Amino acid sequence: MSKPDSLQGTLDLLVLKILSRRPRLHGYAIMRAVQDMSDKVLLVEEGSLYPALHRMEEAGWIRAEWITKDTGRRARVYQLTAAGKKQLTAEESRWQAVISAVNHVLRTV
Amino acid sequence: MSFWSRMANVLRGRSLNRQIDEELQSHIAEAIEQGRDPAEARRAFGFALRLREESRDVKLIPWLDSLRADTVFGWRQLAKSKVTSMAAMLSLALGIGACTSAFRLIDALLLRPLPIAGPERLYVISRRSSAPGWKARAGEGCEYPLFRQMRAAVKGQAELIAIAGAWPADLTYGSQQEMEKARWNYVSGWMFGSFGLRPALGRLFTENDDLKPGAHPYAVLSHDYWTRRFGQDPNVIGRAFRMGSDLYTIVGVAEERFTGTEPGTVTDIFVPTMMNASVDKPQTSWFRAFALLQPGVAAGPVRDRLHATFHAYQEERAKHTVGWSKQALDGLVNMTLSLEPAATGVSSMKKNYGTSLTALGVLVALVLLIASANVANLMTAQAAARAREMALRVSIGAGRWRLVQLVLVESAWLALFASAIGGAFAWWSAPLVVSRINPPDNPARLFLPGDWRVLGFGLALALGVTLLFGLAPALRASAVQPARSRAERTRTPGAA
Repeated sequence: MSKPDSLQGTLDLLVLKILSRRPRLHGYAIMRAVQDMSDKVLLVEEGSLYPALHRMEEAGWIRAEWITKDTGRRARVYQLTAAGKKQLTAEESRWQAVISAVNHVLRTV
Repeated sequence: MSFWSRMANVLRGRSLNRQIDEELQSHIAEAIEQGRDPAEARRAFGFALRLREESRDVKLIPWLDSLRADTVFGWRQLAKSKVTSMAAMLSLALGIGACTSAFRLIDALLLRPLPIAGPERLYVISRRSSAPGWKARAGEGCEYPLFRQMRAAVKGQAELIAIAGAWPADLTYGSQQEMEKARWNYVSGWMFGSFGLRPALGRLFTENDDLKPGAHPYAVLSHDYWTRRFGQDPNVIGRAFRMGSDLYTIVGVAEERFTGTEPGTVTDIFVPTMMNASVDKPQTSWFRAFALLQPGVAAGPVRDRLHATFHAYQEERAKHTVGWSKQALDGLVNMTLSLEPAATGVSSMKKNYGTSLTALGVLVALVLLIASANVANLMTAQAAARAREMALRVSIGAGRWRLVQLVLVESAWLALFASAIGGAFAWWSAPLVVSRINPPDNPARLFLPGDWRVLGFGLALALGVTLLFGLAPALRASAVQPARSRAERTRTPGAA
């Protein structure tokens, strides 16, 4: 797979991280979780969330299944796969590398 | 695995759409439940159709999906104009059928290597004389005493194998009243081993079956004869038959793919060369001498050794010949010997029909070309009638390649059906042509297997023909400009 651009990579990282802490979330819950945990700084749009979810599903990082909720409505919930866990570690270290590089630039210039 | 799931998704596009839609709907419902304004929640999603397309492209292989759509659409287009499609199909089918048929014949007679180990190392020994009046004696015939000397001369570098022509002979499995014909072939005992052939039943000859004249009355059947005459009866081993004054015992059946070294003739019965009455006659040539070179040995030095032996033999012969003119004796001695490649076998049918078959091949290729041109015209006319449809497709964003693909897929449908009909035609016609080559009581038999060579040729032909008659109309149809559609609409008011 080619190197994802930083924005897309960030969304992947957030989704993977959230699913690693709280498995079996549906799309809306993931969106809310990103907002709440970042104190409403980060907003994920539906228009980018679902293509990203479906892409990661095809890549085998997350697994989806249909469940029926207590309210009787059907929802599609996602959880991490083994490959997803590996991917999360890789994305996290990549993110740390990028952050420290940017910080380094900010401090020296 | 992901690739396969995406492949599979191409085939169930509708349920894929439903699943994506349901997930998006459940998201909106969830948002409303959590207290968001319904209109706002829907608006947040933006253009639902675009979102679905985006997710859909992730979940399947887009180009395969578009190919699938074009295949279905192309089929509908063909079904819409049935008469035109049938006419195009039939004219193509005749062209393709004739071409495949000609290829089968040319391949079987001229191109296909013998089914033996190392066919490219097989040569036939041929002799030529420059003296006048000796032309008739030139050719591939060989005398057995000379063959023995030549075999000894090149031992270790090449194996010499004697194989006579397969001639019809009368034989009987019962009383003298029940005579029947079979194609009879004298071969060296070590031929099967040198060619790397295995028995289908019983055993094949070895060197020990070919030692003393008249002492080895054994026979090996060809698989073809075993099937035709005995219905593949395994009890055929040990059965005896009488040919002339000799009583032969069947010891085995040869491999199915080996039908002799003469394309155009299928051998029925192999017997050792020692059973031929002429085996000790120094002046009678009655078989072809083949040379199978050892791997890595060059043909030149082997030929020189063979020639030296041959020359000495002919000089000896000339000494003992009385009553010949000086000129005739010179012709006898001054013959040259050469090694001709025999990877595809040697037969008189090959020599007689090689040129005419090639001419036939060129001719039917031209016929196919004409048929393709006709169909191309037909398709171009159809494409012109569809200019508005194409213009509309361009207006809503279809790329040029997409339009080319659309028309090409339609052509591929035509070529596919034409190939199927043509293949059936070739299946029937090639054996028919072969059966008409020789007189009915001695018909030519050519082994015509429908294997990967024929299949590959057919597929390549179908693909080539598709491009030949499909590419021009496709390029033309795809060259349409979106502006053209507006111009046409203004010319035909009420259509908009």
